[in-house]
Amino acid sequence: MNNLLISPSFINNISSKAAVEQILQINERSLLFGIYLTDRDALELVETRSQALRDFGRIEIGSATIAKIIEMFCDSRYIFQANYAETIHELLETFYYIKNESLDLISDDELIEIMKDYFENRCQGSIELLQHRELEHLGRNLRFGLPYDSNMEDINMDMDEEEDDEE
Amino acid sequence: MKNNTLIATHLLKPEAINRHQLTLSLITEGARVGVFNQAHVEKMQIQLVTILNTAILEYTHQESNSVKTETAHNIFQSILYCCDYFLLSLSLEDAATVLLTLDFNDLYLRGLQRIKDDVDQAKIIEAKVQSTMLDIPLIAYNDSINESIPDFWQNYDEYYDAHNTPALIDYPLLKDDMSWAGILYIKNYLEKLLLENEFALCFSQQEVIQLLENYGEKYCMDYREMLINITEQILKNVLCSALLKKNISLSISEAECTTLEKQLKGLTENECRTQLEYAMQNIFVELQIANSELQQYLKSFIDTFSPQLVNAIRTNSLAGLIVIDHDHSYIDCAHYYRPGENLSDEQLRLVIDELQHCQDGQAKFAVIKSEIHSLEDLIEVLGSYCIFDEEYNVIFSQMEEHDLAVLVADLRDDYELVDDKFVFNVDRWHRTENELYWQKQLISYLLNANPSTYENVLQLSREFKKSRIVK
Repeated sequence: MNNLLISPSFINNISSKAAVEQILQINERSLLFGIYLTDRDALELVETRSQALRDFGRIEIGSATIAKIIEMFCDSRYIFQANYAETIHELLETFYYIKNESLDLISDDELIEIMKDYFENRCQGSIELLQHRELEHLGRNLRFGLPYDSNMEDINMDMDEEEDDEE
Repeated sequence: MKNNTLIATHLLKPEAINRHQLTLSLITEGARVGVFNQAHVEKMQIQLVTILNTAILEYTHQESNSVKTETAHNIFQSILYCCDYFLLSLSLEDAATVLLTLDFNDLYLRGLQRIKDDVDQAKIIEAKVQSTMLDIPLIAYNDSINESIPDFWQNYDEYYDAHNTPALIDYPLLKDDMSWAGILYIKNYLEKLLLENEFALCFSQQEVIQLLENYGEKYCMDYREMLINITEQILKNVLCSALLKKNISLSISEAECTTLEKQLKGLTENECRTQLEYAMQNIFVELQIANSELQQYLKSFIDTFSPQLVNAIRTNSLAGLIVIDHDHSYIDCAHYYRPGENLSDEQLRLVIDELQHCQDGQAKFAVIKSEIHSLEDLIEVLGSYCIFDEEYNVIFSQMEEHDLAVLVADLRDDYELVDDKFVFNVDRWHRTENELYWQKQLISYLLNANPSTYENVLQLSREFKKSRIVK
């Protein structure tokens, strides 16, 4: 991808215009919950996505992910107009980070659904808990070949107990 | 559109096109000379990105819209390889026309189909290569055909990794173009290997093995482990044999080598080339080689061989360029330098154990004589702390001068002979105590031996060293 004809920045540029339009279209649905994104918010979200892709060494063509995240989270009971755009920025960064951390072992749709579930329930709207506790845990489980929701601490304890029994 | 194509025929510079990246360089050059305008290039870019997007989604089984940059890069290279594959079969002008008129997805799919067709064709050629395989125990040759090529089929992925060659192919061809990769390389490799098999089968396998054994001895190595091309060794010798105007043979004696040196002395490179071309023609007639493809392939070797031959004649080093069939009559009486007769580690351990239980040097010599058949094993045994002090003298005194000379020739990798005296010329830290111990014992034995024995052993060791037939 390091040739001049097709570069990551070229891919981002051709994806950006469509992405902005797609984001703004979701306003129709989000307005049902009293929140919306402005043109400027949409542009900034697209820029955040591009930056996250660059930072985490990933390539994405099109704007499917950003739209899926917004659609999934716009009905969250922890998102209001005041924190809407900012939360989506952080969710986007978190999403690409976890894709790398999980070695791409989880699909986009499944990861977005899990993020939403954890955000609503276990984390009660806290992005910090979602990023640093739940999703780190999920990434580690997947890297170790375990189901994403296994409790590593329980497994470690079981292993310790087995070792104690052997002794 | 037609006008653009006409412009392309005049303006595209072939030297500016990189055939290994045909699609990209053709677009770049086309854009530079105005064959493609900005709108054309943007359309091509968008079409390529669309193909990449589809490929990424297929690669992730529709589960992920993004992939690591390296993965995307690899998939993109694979797409371009498919496009190149189709365009390579066309002239530059036609290729430029295709880029202007054909949708990139069609171009990609046509290239992909051609790759699949060539995979099928290459498998047919592979079957022919296997059926004509030489019965020669050259490891790289056998492994490349029996393991590396099947590995390639197992790992080759024409969808996402078409541009790579996922196999370690060690056996070098007579003329190997390694600038290509993927199925293009493998198909080419198999086609040439089939031609080489056909040529090598014109000779008795025993004769070829003897030639390779002689080649291995020249470099003090077991030829079976060497990365050499069989056809090259055969061709060099048969060309010289044809230049000598004798019957086509793989065997060239030292005397014949000297005759040839005199015969070619003073020839210019052009004259030498003409003679080689004539000799090659004689080989085709003598060996009844009618396959024009094979003829062409073998003729291309003259480009490489002619300057080498001229240089060898100029520097009196023809013996280094070809394989000389040495007189082996005096070698056969010695026990210790036959390649390929090494004992396994377990067998050697048993011999060393047996030696440790022997009571004296005489008994130890009997064990060595009956059990050890290679120089490497003999050296291993001599330095294994199973022979002590006076026992060395007993063993060396029982050995024939040839055998001692073989040991001394090997010893002389470490020692230099200055006025017939041994001078150690290797850093002592590079040798173990055991190695130094038996070497000292041998030198001490020779210095105390009969002067004629000492002289004979040194003389023989010089000959061994010169003809490099030890081991």
